[in-house]
Amino acid sequence: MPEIVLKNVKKVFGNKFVAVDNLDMYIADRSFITLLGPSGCGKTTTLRMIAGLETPTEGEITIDGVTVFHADKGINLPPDKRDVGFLFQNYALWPHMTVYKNIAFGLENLKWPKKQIEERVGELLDMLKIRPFVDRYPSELSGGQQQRVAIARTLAPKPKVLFMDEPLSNLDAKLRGEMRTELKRLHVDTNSTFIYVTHDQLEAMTLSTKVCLIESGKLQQFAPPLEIYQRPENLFVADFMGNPTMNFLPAKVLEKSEESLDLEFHGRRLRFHAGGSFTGDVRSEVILGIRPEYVTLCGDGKLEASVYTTLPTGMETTVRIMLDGELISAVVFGCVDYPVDAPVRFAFAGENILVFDKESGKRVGVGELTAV
Amino acid sequence: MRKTKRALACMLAAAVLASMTACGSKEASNDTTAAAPAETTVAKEAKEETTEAPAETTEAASDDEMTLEELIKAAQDEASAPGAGSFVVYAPTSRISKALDAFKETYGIESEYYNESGQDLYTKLTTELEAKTKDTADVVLMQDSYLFQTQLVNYDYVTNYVPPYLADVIIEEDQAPLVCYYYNKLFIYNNTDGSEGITNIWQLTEEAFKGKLFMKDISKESVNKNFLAMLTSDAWAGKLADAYKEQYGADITLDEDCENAGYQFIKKLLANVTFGSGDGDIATELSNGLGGNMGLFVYSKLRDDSVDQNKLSVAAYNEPQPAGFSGFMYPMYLQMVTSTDRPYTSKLFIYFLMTEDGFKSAFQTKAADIGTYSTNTMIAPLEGDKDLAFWKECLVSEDPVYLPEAYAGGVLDFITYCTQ
Amino acid sequence: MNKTKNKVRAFFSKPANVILVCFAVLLVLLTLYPLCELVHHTFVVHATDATVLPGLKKGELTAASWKKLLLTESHKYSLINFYRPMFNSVLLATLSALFALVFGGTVAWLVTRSNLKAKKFISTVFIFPYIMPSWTLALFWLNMFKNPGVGTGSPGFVYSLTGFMAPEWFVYGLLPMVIVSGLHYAPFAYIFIGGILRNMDANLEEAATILKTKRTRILLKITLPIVKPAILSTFLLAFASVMGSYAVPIYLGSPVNFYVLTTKMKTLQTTAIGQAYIIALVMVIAGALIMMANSLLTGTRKSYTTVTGKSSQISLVDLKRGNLVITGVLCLLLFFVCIMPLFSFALESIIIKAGDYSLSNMTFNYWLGASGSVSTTVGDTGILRDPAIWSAIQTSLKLSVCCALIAGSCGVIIGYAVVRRRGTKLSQWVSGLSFFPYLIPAMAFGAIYLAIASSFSFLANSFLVLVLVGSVKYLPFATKSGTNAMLQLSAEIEEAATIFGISWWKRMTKIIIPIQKASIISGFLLPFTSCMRELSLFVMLVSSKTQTLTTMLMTYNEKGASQYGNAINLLIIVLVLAINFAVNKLTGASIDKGVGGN
Repeated sequence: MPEIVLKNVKKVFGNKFVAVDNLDMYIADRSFITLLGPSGCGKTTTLRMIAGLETPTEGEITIDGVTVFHADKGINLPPDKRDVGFLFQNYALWPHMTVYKNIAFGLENLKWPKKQIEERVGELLDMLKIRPFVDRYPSELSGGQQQRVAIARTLAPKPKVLFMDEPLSNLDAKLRGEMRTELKRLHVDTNSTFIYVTHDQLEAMTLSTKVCLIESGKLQQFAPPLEIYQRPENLFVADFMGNPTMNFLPAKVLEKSEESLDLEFHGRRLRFHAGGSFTGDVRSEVILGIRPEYVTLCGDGKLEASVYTTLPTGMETTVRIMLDGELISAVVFGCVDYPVDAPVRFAFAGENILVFDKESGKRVGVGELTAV
Repeated sequence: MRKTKRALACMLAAAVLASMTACGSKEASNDTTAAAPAETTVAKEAKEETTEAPAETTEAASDDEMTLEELIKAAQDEASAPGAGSFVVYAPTSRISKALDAFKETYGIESEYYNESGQDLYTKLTTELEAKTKDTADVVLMQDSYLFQTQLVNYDYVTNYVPPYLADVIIEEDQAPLVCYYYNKLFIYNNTDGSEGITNIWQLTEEAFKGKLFMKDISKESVNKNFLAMLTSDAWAGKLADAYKEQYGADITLDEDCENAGYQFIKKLLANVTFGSGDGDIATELSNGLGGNMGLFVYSKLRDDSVDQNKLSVAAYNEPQPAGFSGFMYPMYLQMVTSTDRPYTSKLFIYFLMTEDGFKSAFQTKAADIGTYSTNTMIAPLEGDKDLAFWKECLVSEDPVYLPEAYAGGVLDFITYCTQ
Repeated sequence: MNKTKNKVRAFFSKPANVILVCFAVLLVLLTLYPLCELVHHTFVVHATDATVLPGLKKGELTAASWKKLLLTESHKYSLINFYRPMFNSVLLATLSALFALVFGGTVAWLVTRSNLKAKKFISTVFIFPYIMPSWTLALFWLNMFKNPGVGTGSPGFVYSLTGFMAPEWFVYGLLPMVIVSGLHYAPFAYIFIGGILRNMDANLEEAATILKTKRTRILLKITLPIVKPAILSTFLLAFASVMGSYAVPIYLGSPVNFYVLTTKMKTLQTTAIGQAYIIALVMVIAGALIMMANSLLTGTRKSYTTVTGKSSQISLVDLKRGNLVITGVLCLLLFFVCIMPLFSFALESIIIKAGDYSLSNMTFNYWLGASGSVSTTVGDTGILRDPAIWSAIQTSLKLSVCCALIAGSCGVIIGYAVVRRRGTKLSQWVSGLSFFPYLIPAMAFGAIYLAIASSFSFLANSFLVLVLVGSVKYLPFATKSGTNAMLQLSAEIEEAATIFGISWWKRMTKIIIPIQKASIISGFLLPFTSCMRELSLFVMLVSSKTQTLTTMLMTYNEKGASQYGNAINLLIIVLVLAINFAVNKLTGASIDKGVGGN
């Protein structure tokens, strides 16, 4: 059972820069975990620490019940003893070796019998559809082909855990889509644990079983993608996940009761009804988090705004409307065109409207929002 | 692998550390040698008065009784003795290799040499002797009386040995310390425009010679410095004062910063001098250059293929010779290193180099090898050259006793000042 | 306690750390220790000092040498022996470095960024002056321009041909010294700046072009700032090299009383060696100051020198009608300073009487003649018949190869460790230390190593000590090229192998070295070349069995056997060029790759 546990892991670089701070994580067997965050947030460092390429400053890491790193006990297993595979951002193929040699080199080093190596390499060549290129050098391959060779090389020794560091970021959009499909399929086929680093929230959403969102070295939320999407812990997470991004509307609290709030937003009165009790202190100012798909444009909406711009993508259309200088995004299914500056009425739908405390940025409630 | 690497690094580190401590202890031993010279010089002077061959009083006595055959036998035995170190000669000239070849041919004894013509030779030798390096020189051939005196003799690094078999034929004043031969550097001028050189050395200091007088950079060769320093000695200052009177008919008037006529001469001479990079270049350039130009360089360059001899004349051969002097000469000391582990071989080699065969094997291999004068009176000068006595008359010669005095008195500061 | 032990163990589990610690220790011993010895020597009374400084005995500790050199007013002693030469040295080094920068930089820009013609010829030949010993250019300058109006008045090539009489300031003194030294070190600028220009993302310039910025403004505001680190490091190298150069000032400065620190140091060596060591120390300090200034100015921003984008599409500046003129002038100039000296040496080695270029005055006897066929003060055989020359060729080659292998390998290993641990104190320290041998003048370096070697019988007069001193002295070049080679290689390439549990040794030999083969071999070429033409460093350490070509050359030059001198000179240059060429053809490595070019 290759589960991975991180306890209080901290990494401080020489120049006192704290890359990762007090990270706790439990990664279940056979899950597909994404480390998500803006660039420079410490996600790659975390991955490299688990893989053993970087030594944490403090904390403890266990893989499959084996302590691979323990700062106080002085345990630090080298990467090759951790039974992991690592897929690098720029593939790190060895330019002086052919495709075959690139895949076989690691196995040779693991003292596999020659015949078995040939079999395994053949298997991978077929699996990743790169057999025609077997005698080529990396420089003679396209980006996508190089990526496949890199994956084949990583998978060759059948690692129980596979680490991937933004493996798709160097590919064009179409190829990236294809590879995503294959990676997800590969996860099932290989029956191993995947840990995937990306800054692309869409990739995280589509691929993973669980997303770990990190910012400035701190864990923000660690949950399944849909939960992160619907129930972000704080403003940062809410903002990071979803495209187009969530609408944030500042509002004043006029009155609060056990489960509801009376709010003022640009002179308009709104009423928020939480599905349960509030999970934190509600102070005088809050921020409403509303996903664009919960802003419905309809003739009988109680609020009025003007159309600022329309962004059709074909399948859906994002309409940006202006309300007293505040831009609000709404998503409409299908292709709809609104004339610019035309007045439009809208309302809030659904039970997933979020309320964040303005001061702490923490989510304090989920519920319905209606204009009064 | 990593382990062996680390071990290797440790070993290296240890080795260099050891060198540091060794140098530290060397410093300690310095103190004793530094304290010693005062006494030894006195002792040596005393010795020199009593016997001609100082040092090793008892052994030297028995050596003196050795016949040449016995010496040869002893030297050959040394060479074949188990664990014998190599026999090494340091010299400022690469010609020494020929002498060593001849030495091997004659006596069958193998040897090595190191040659470097400047201060580096002394630095190398003294550093090695101080550190008691095993494979350092056994015999040295050294030029520059000042360095010879201050770096070797004062610290008893070398021992004088005059082969008794040749004691009668070697010029007596060149026996302690033993001079193997002399080199001379002469005033030589380009005669192409009918120039007849000079009749008095002071003429060189006149305006007419400005920029027309060439010698090797004194910073490159120390014997040139010694020559200038010697002019400030009482004897030469006196001769210069006389020459001045002869030229101008009046007593010399000295500048404020000039103690005697020697200083005054240097001051005026150097104002006219252009330094060249080497004697050979100066000789070649002089022969290709303008008439009337005067150079001060090693006589032997005159016979170099690249020099047009017909265009050059030696001032010393003029009738009359220039009043004052016609150039300078410097001795090549031949000494046994005191700490040698091959004393008999050393003595035999010194003997060999003082014989006609030995000397000619290296320093007079062909008719062109003029300008080298053995102190062995039996060796005649080459055709067209004069004998040592002639040169001693008209050239400035180094005095190992006066030079350290002069340098201590700051004569070099004065010379450097004058070159600017 | 346990925690620190763990930390130490974790620290040493990384090969890069082990390497850094080993080399930190080794370099302290091999470079800082000589430096301390140097300082120590300035306070010790040596045999020569004892006579010039009355009242002191050999071995005593004193500050008298310092006082004498720095604070003596009589006969303007301090001014003449220290302050003026120091001023001259700094002036010469600064101007030469600037000249090298401007000349080398311009050519680098022309070759990488314009549609200049004959690029291959220019970039091949431009390195020649660096391969030739520096004094050869000085000699060549004299052979060219001397004339009846200057010095002895013997005619040079230009005068014989055209009757042009160059004035004295053109033949001797500051101007020719700056030109000759500048030309000698211009390849540094060409290699460093050219390397960056070639790697620089053309988009940077194109972005500015689109904003309608003028060409000159782009050059000043975009290109120059980006190559600034290279400019500064070139300046440092050239400055330090010129500060320590001896031959050029001797040939071109001394005849007109233009003294610099090195020439003064050599003079003082015979009469007051303590003061000579002070001058050496001052030269080290000057170099160290420049080095510090360099790292202060570039340190934090160095990162943007490694911008490598898709530089495949470089738009070349059209030189238009100027193209042929510039190409012509440049080729002519390079022919003059790079190819002509070779012809000149060849010619001078076969004529008997200098200045007479008629056929009857020529002979190959200086090369091939049997014993007695020529008459010089040194020898009478052609050099190719002289067994001593053959053994010197052997020693030189063997020595240079050994030094190149040792320095080069250490350079690769240090480069690897420094790059892997980039940003850490230790890494900065080691890379700084490894540059130090470059700042210690070769003469002083040789003298100190002589003292060390003399204490060990296995080192004294041995071939080993030559290898040791050569390896240490040329480590800076090797480290620089090793570091460059490693910077070009992403860490992931190695980590991909680490994941498979491939040992460090195997990673180096199977992955890193094969990939960077050309760069690494290039790193071996520079120590090799430098070693082949080094003299001052080895002169006191050789013995009759270990004579090198340069020590032979010195003997001949000292004795004025110029034909032999020219012949050996040519021999050295041809050997170095031939080996560089062969290595280049066989492995693709070249000197310019080693120091940062591509």
